[in-house]
Amino acid sequence: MTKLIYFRLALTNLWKNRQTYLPFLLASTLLTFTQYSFLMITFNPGLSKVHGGMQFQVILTLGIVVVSLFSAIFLFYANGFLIKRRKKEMGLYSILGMEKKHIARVLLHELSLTWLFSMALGIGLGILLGRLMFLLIRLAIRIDVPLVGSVNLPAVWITLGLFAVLFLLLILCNTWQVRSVDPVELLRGGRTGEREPKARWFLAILGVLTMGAGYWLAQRVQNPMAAIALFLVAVVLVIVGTYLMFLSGSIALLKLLKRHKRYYYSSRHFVTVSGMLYRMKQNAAGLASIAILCTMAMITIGTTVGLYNGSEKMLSEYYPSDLQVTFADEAALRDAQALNATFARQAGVSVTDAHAFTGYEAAFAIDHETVLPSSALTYASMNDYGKMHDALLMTQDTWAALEGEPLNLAPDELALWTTAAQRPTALTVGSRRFSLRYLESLPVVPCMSHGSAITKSYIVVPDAAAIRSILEAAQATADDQAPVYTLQCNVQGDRATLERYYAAIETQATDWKDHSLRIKGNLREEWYAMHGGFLFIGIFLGFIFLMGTALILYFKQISEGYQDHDRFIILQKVGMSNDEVRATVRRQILLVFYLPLAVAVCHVAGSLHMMILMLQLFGLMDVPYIALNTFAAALGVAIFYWLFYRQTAKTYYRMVKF
Amino acid sequence: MALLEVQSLQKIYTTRFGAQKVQALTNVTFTVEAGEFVAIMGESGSGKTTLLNILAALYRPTTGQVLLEGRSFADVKESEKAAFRRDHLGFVFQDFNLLDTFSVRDNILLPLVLQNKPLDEMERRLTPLVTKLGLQGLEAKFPYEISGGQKQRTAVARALITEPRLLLADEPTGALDSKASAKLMRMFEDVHRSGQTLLMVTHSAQAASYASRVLFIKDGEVYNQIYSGNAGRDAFYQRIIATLTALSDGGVAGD
Repeated sequence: MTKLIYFRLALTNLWKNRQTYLPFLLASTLLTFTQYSFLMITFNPGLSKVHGGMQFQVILTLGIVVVSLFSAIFLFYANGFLIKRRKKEMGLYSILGMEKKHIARVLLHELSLTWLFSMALGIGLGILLGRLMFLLIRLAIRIDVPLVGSVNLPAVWITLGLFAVLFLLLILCNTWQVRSVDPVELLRGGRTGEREPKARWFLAILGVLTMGAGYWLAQRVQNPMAAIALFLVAVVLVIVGTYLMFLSGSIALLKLLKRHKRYYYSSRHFVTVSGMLYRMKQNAAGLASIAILCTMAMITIGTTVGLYNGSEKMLSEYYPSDLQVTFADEAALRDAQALNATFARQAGVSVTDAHAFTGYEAAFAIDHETVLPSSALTYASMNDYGKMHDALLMTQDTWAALEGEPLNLAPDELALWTTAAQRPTALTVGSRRFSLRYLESLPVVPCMSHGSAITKSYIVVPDAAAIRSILEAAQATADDQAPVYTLQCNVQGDRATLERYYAAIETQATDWKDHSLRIKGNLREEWYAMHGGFLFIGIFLGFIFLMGTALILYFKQISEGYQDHDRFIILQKVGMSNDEVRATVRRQILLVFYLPLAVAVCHVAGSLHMMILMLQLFGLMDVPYIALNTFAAALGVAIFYWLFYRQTAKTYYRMVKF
Repeated sequence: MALLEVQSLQKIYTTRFGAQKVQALTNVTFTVEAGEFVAIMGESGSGKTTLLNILAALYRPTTGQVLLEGRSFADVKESEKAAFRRDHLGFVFQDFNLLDTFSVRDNILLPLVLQNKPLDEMERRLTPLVTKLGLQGLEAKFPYEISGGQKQRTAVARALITEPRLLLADEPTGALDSKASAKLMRMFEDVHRSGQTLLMVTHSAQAASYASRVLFIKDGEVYNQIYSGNAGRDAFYQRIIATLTALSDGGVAGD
């Protein structure tokens, strides 16, 4: 009987506070839905057996971890906000004779109900949309996921368990909140006198420094390996900097403006500056979170969309030709050339751009215009990674035969095509010194036996002796001292003929010794699985970040609305006209609205250099393309933000209206 | 010419669907001369607050008009109302209505800032006012740091800094203890002596006894008025009490 009372009390409370609890419930439902969907797809029994399925599972696991972390942070934030708002109500309960443990029990029932609702809705939605999700994966990501039923018991249990733990922690947190405050104070709630915020200069300066350090780091890195290693450091620095800047920097700035009397005591700035001071005190953390979440949404969506759309471009960076085979001896190459022509004829495909050439592959470092073995670098500085080269060496005769254009190199001259950023004018190799001529275009892109994230270079030498000097200076292994014989070609045909052709090659390849066979089509499947997987969770996570932004924005507006209502009534009584009040409200709102968005765009712009380097690791080299994608994503997020803001602003104006 | 002329004011409130009409003011006529300190008394529901809101140009009367220095409120355009109030009238409220985001100094300066007055003019007006109202040393404090009496004196300073033609006070002692009330009323007396015209609505006979004239309102009409004369404040207080007693004993106009 008494249990039923708590239950009913909890239910009416949720209903009465629906203005704030409904968004909370929606958010928790959406998080549940995402978590269940990720789990359900990961546990799809056939997924690991299809091509690219493994990669997709790994990426999904990453997504599950991110969603779990985000759920924890988010639920705690929202719950804290809701409890703070309801302190007065709790105080009233205790005045009416409820003990603290009773209040805690009501809160427990409320959270249990919320958990139950969001589990039922979230998992229900996940089951309902499961089929659609599988279809989406098949179509967009091109993974042949088996279309199995979307009720997956392990996924259900894990989702239930995970959120049960989170809600249990929330319940503990609420119980502690109720117990640690006395009833009179509860009744007063947040109404205790607001102190004017103090400018904490030390923290403000620290904020500028950490933010500056993050940006500096992001601009200074010069190669992908360094970017990967320093990315997390830069992100943490910028996040800490953003919070400090919002918390202390904004207040310090406003205090400075206030001290400037001629600025402060004017009708345009007087109310705005002092209003902003209090607004920043209450909302700095929320605004900083919005800025960070917007940044994350922009970067996540921007990079994953860019990666997915750029897959084809990247494939040709790695594999310039549809088919490439390398051999250790020339006879094998000649055999393969003949066989290839035969297979193509039998299968009915046409072969174009077929080339065969001899080269040497070596990895070394170029430091201070000198070729060194890669082991000579300490890698203490991250930029040492940028000095490493993966090179294909060719004599100028081979080059002329392959590219169809003689270079006519001088005896002490090298020609170089490279992706490296640094371009020395001369190069010392052992005891010899060469001048360098840079090649800007490659009519035929020669294939190398391994594509990598390290700088790719083609070096054309005047004679065979120069190749030996370079290999010696690089301290190449015995394997690398030997020449590599490469056959590469493009193949056209319909799906069936191509399959027949590649099957013949692959069967034949089992008989080849010391060879390496690379078929672009196979890599394409793996890549689409991986990049499609990134895209899939990127868009999901992007939406979750946006949802977080939306909820914080909504809560912020509501909590400010009531206070501002009183404040603006006074201003009107003192002689401010309706229009003036409205203009002031609008000015403050716009400031608060644009600030996080501007900061987010700034962060995205600042991170761009680092993103470009990191995407190079995946083989995406097209800088304008990456920039375009990122800013398209930023624009999309900004539009969403604006739309949502307009909606919440309506609620806000309704509250402030007099 | 009188500073303020109130001519046969009538105010009828209509409920949202027009089903019921409530008459708050029936017929109110009086004048206030420049330099007078007038108190308006009456029970709850007698129409005091409605009258004050009409005098503050916040409400429009149903019939009748209000003239300030011969200019009718009805002639002031809606868009100029706020500026008109700000430039000609000063307000003191029961619950102070100070902004908690401003210091005492900034609260007082608020109307001048809205008028876009130059900085040195603000300073010039502020200093004597702060001294006059006993707020020295509190300028940098915030509303939550000072007492109720100090808050109300800050509000009075804010009302006076625009040098208004008329100061309107709505139950200024309503939220104060007797000591703070007495102190505030003595300051009103000072302000009055220096030539300021005041009009105050109050419940308190004690507060009203500081005025030079008291108007009594009952059921939306001016019921009676008495002048302080030269007999001293205590004698005036006794007469106010007597009138109030007569007011509540007198026949009810009917339900």
